[in-house]
Amino acid sequence: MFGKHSFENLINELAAEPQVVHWEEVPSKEAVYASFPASLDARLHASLQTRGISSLYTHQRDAYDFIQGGKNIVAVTPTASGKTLCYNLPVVNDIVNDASARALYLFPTKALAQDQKNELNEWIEQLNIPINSYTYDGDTQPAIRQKIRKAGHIVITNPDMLHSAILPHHTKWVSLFENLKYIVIDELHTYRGVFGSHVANVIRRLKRLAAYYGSDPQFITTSATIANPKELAETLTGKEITLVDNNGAPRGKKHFAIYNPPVVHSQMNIRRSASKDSTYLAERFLKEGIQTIVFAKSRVRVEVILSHLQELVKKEFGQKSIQAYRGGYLPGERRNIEKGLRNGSVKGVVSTNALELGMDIGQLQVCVMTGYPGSIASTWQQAGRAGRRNEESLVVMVAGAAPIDQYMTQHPEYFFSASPEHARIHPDNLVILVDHLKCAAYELPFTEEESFGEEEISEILDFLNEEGVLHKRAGKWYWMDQAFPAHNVSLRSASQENVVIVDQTVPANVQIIGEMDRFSAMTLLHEEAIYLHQGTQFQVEELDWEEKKAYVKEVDVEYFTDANLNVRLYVLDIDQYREMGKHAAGFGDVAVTIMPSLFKKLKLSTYETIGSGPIHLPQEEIHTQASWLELDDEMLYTDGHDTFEKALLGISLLFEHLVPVFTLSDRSDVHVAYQVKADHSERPTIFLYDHYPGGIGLAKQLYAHIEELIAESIELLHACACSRGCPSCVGYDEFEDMKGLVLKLLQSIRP
Amino acid sequence: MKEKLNRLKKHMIRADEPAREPEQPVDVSLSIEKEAQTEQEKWSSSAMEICWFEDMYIYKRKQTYSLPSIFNKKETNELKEIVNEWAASTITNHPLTPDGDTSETDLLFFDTETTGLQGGAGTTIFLLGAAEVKGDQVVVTQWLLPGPEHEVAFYYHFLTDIGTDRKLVTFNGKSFDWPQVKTRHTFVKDNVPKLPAFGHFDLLHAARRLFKDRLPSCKLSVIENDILGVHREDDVPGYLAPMLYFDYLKSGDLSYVEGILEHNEQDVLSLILLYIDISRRVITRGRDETETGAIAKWHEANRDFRSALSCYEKITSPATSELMFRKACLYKKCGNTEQALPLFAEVYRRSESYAYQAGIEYAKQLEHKVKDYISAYNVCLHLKDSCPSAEWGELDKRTKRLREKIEKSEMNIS
Repeated sequence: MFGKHSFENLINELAAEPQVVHWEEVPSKEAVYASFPASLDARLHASLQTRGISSLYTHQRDAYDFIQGGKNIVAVTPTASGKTLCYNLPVVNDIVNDASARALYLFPTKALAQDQKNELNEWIEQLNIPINSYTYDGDTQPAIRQKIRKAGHIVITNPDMLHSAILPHHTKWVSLFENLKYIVIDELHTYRGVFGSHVANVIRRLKRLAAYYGSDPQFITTSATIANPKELAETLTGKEITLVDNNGAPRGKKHFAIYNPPVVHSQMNIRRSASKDSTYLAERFLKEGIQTIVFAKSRVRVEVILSHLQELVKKEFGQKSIQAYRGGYLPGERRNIEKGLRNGSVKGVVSTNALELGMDIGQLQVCVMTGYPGSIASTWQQAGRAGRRNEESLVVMVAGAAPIDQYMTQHPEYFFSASPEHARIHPDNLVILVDHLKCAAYELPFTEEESFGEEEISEILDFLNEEGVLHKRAGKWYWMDQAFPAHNVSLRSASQENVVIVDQTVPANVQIIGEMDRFSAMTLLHEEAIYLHQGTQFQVEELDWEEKKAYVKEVDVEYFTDANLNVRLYVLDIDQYREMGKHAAGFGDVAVTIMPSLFKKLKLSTYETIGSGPIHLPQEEIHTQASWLELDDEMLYTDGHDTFEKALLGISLLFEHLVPVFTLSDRSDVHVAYQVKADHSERPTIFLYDHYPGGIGLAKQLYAHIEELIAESIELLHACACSRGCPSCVGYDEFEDMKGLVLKLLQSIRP
Repeated sequence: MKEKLNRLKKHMIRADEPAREPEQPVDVSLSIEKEAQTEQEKWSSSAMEICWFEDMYIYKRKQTYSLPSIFNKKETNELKEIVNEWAASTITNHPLTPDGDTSETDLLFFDTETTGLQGGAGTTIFLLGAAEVKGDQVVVTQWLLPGPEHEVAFYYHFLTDIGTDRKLVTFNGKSFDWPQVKTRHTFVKDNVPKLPAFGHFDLLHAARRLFKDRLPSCKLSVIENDILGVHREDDVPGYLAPMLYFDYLKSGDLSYVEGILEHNEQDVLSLILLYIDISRRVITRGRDETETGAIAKWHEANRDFRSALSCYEKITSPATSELMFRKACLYKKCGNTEQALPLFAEVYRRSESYAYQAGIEYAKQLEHKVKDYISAYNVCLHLKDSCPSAEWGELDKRTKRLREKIEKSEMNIS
């Protein structure tokens, strides 16, 4: 160990390197403390003192006070700022004074729930007060389930379990529902898109049952930094929410470097791979004994980087000094890493993005990200892994070949000054809403006066009555079907008729590893597709469309696949429309027919096409929401039909790159399609549509911001280092200056 | 909205929720009394009675049968006999034993029909059926729910009628029917009597113990056919019950549920026969050696070791290693080393299943009771080859200890 001096030297050396395109210093911050509240139980006070907590941070105190005052809150706190105390303090304080009080904790994953239970139980044990806190999930032993239902003060679970095991069996949980005082939702920012929209409806059902049993629980939620925590919390819970964001936790000085690997092929604008340079950067710090975490996007990458680094340091520290962290680690394995980091036997951790989610393994001094994590919010979460309190730390983001990575290298201010993304949900998506109305009717019949969220529901209930799912008698809609509706609704996948993914890598151990909605399956699970599951590459060997099964086998290849779709779009209803000079923007309901035609194999590092093949699948249709950009049809004639179509294709590609960043959504949530002559307007039109039946609100959001999207697209294009277009921006065309063409078109649209 | 709902219909109405014919509008002009009467008149059976509770009603059907018509033409009250036989037997802790002061009239043979096969808050019980033996008659009472809005009346009458001091006899009722009654009772608990804490004999568990090796499945219909000699004619299969009930709800035509009532009645009647049949097998220690072995194991699980041993003793022909081993263990438990030792030795020498466990027991007995350390030591050495890895340590310890004991006793001799 060389200590601090060496760290400073290394930082200075790095800062001087030409590959470092941006260097940002985030200043240190002193802790801001607040005293313990007077109403805090003396036993809690004492136990915190023993744990070395002699006062609260301001945000913890505020959270406590608001909760005491009957408010619902969202606490926005960065990594390692003591957010669990924001909810554990008021909840436990209540339970020690009233043994009948109950609280329900929701975590997005089982692993997080386990983690929390351990932390909480350690504290409870130390308190020596009989408080029962349990996790309730698929792994819970049947023998103790009944005890949890009857006597669990704090029930820690996940939304899926709440949806399919607790709510539909609420009569077994009477003591929980009758006394439910708090609902804690941690990692609120993970509830977005389709998943979040489902969870918002699960919470409507939860509130409905709580009301039936006579309780009106308060919501305590926590979120990583996003642009709209209050709005998200309010939509998700249907309650008025108070924002707590005066983070009082201290922070050491943080250096943030953006590193762009050197160009190795100038004409194609190909750079050295990000994982190679990440390994090399991490090595420099690890060799000095400086604890470093490397994030990689896939499990394969983690393995590659891990073995490189282990090889490099094995003489100095031994192989065990570098550990991998993958999703799904058991608490014990994680604790070992944590312990190793604390006692110094572990120097480095190589992790998939799984670690980003709230898992606590302790802080390291340097964080290296292999590629842009995909959103500002998750970048800050990963960056939060570096920097112990009051210690200087370094974060290096190594840009990858993806267009958005390259955009970041050119426009670091986008990252450092722009507010983080908005998290959107659309709980009133008709398909999702109807699914949960069915579940809710199963749980309790609907009365005519009842509401469920914002939407007027009696019309929907009548519809379900006509379809024979519900039965209206004496002013109430009753569930009248043999099915158990919650089992037909999965919160985490889009549409109901899912394709099951069967891993047959090991013939003796064939197992189901996941499922995917039908529409996504067409493009992601066709035969020969490379399917990424938790970072592992699988090749689809057979897609049985009739039986909805995809048989996959693990592979290790240097390419990914991208399917071409023939998309037809018909506008059914125009909800909003506005002129933009000679052009126009619209938003409304559309019918999309999708027919995959062929797929391409693209090299991972460069996005080069290295092969292709046909896809044989039947046509599918979805009804969803879209926003669109109608262009002046005069433009068709200026450059000629073919050239103009190429420009539309280029813009579509560019939008596809940008939209996920713009909307904090997955790449598959919003799709882009263009028509040289759209059916509804007879004008050249670019559509951005929600890839989920009924729409999930992303297209609607894009309609409102279409001018900004155009402006950003122009920026991205300027930023790209290529000369005539490349796979990172608008695509490469042998005969056409794609970049110039698209730029010209975009500038002419720009208001 | 309507248009939108229809457009997205295929995403909302799934194959397992089959869309049915649009509902016929029910004539709302009828008063509720009239509606109840009209429905009843439509149906031929005269045993139906309308029972009111406030403004809700249910149908109750009561049928009585003579004993011979149920008990294979026998005049005697076999249920009464079997309850007496239980009382006279020395069997203890058995899950089918009625306790001392139970009379045969306390037994309530009970089954439900529900709107779904899976338990849960929204699965409604629409038919409760119970059979009782009273004097020289078998009485079957059925409570039928005319619509979900009448559930308070449903449970009010059911609970008032059956009383509080009963013993339920069901088929899978411990895991399905009774929990489901509890679930639905939760919704109406403020308006109806409390659920009494009934004793409960679940014949599914019993049937599994006795018949699982000889029957293709332990479904009630299979047991009726192969064990009880009951053959149903024109039976409505249970899985159709929900659909038929929904059809009744929509049409108000009680003839839709007629078949379900018959089916349910046969179920509860079969339960009487099954209870008698299984009880008799247990009390008489089984009809063949396999059965006797199964009953012995059952007694063991109930910690009634004396009855278990008495069953094992009934098996005279060369038994399986498992039965011999279990028998030996029971002798050991009762402190009867003399009987246990040769049995352990026999199982150990057979080198079949349980040979290792029997060897260990044999060695233990030799060491502690017979004090024959050398033989015990030899057994342990021999067991080394078949020792499962988890028990290496223990066997090793035992072997070492025996060695020391041998050396010590040799030293004493010298």
